[in-house]
Amino acid sequence: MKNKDKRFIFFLVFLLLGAAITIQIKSTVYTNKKQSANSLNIEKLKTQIEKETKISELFRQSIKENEQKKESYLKTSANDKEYPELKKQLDELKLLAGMTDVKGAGVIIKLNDALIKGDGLISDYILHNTDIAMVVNELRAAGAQAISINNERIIATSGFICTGPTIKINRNRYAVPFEIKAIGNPDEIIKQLEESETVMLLKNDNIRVDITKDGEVHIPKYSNNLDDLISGLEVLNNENQ
Amino acid sequence: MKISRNISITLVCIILGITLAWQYQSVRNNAKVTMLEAQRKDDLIQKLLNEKENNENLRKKNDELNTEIRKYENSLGDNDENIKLLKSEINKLRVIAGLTEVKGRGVIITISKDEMLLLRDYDLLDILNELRASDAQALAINEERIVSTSEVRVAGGNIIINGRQVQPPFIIKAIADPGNVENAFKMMGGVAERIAVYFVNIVVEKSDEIVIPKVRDEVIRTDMLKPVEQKQ
Repeated sequence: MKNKDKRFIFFLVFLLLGAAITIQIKSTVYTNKKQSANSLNIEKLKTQIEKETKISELFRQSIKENEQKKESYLKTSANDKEYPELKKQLDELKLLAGMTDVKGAGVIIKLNDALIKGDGLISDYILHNTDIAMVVNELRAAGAQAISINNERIIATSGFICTGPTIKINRNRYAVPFEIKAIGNPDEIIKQLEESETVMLLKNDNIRVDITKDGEVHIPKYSNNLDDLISGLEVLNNENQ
Repeated sequence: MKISRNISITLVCIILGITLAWQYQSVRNNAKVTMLEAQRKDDLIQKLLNEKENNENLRKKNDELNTEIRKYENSLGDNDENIKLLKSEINKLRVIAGLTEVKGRGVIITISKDEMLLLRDYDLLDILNELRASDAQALAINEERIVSTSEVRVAGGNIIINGRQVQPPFIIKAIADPGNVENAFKMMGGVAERIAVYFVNIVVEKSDEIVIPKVRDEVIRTDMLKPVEQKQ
């Protein structure tokens, strides 16, 4: 080997080495910068979320106390002769209108986006508001008497609104996974679901559908503002005046 | 001399090769980490938005309770006033449960179809969901009041609501802000457009006086529900 050749080889080797080191340093520095900026943001976001969670805890606590207060005020007229009958009516109506926590035999359905994506659009493999509406309709068709989704009680006017990656139910937003609880005849509900096109189509898209019987399902009461439900309604022929 | 030179060149080349491979991996890895972090950030932003909005609803509920409690406090010790409040509470619940005939501003949606085509249950469900999304407060299809247990299903080519067969044309009445409903229905790719694809005629009319009947008694079933005792 001539000296010239050797120099040329060394030149090439060191050129490559130099380039490699430069790219490496650049990439590492860039990532570090980005990462520290991101982790700063992530920390900020986390504290903000924590703050909101605390606020929500406070509100829930306050709502609970206020509800108990209201109950106790309702009892102040307990010695009135009309009271027992009215109280009975009130309790029945609360049960009927979805304003009471209830329990009973039923099913719990867990829904989540597909893990494995097949052919076609990604949107085929994620849960949509319309899927939820269909499942709830199947439950109603099977005679479910109370339904909740992620502990949000479903009443006559509960809609399911698509808001990007989340679904809005009763004005509150929820993301996957969804846990739908229903009180009703478990066998009838399961039969209805398993024979339905709705569940078949979901399973076909690899959406995770998990249906279990439960001897005692707990479903919470409707927990939002009530005036929003009736502010536009004028009552006609209310024979209970 | 010659041998040792060759050995050293070989060594340098091996080191260089390893370095290149390691570096390639590292650069790719860095890119992946950056992407994951960004994804995580997006998720957290979404979560924060959800929490904020849900808290706003809790605040509203709490305000409502506070107002009610103030009313009760003002009438403390006044028996007649208390009974009156209890009765108004009962009436409110009757309206929410759909036990009263109600009137209000809203829309009437009429759906008629060609003889040949079947209207599918999910078309009606879509329309109902769109109306609920527009904050409808009372709903009825062909005078069947929609309550929390109302189903819409197809059996033998017929649409069944509240266990009763309803015949086309379907007249859906909703008490809701007519502007909201109109926007929702006119939206591109919205429900009206989707349904029109199936040659179904859909007409949305606004009205200031929509009357919606109360639910039929036999539709209401609560025999399987047991109230959960409140822990005091």
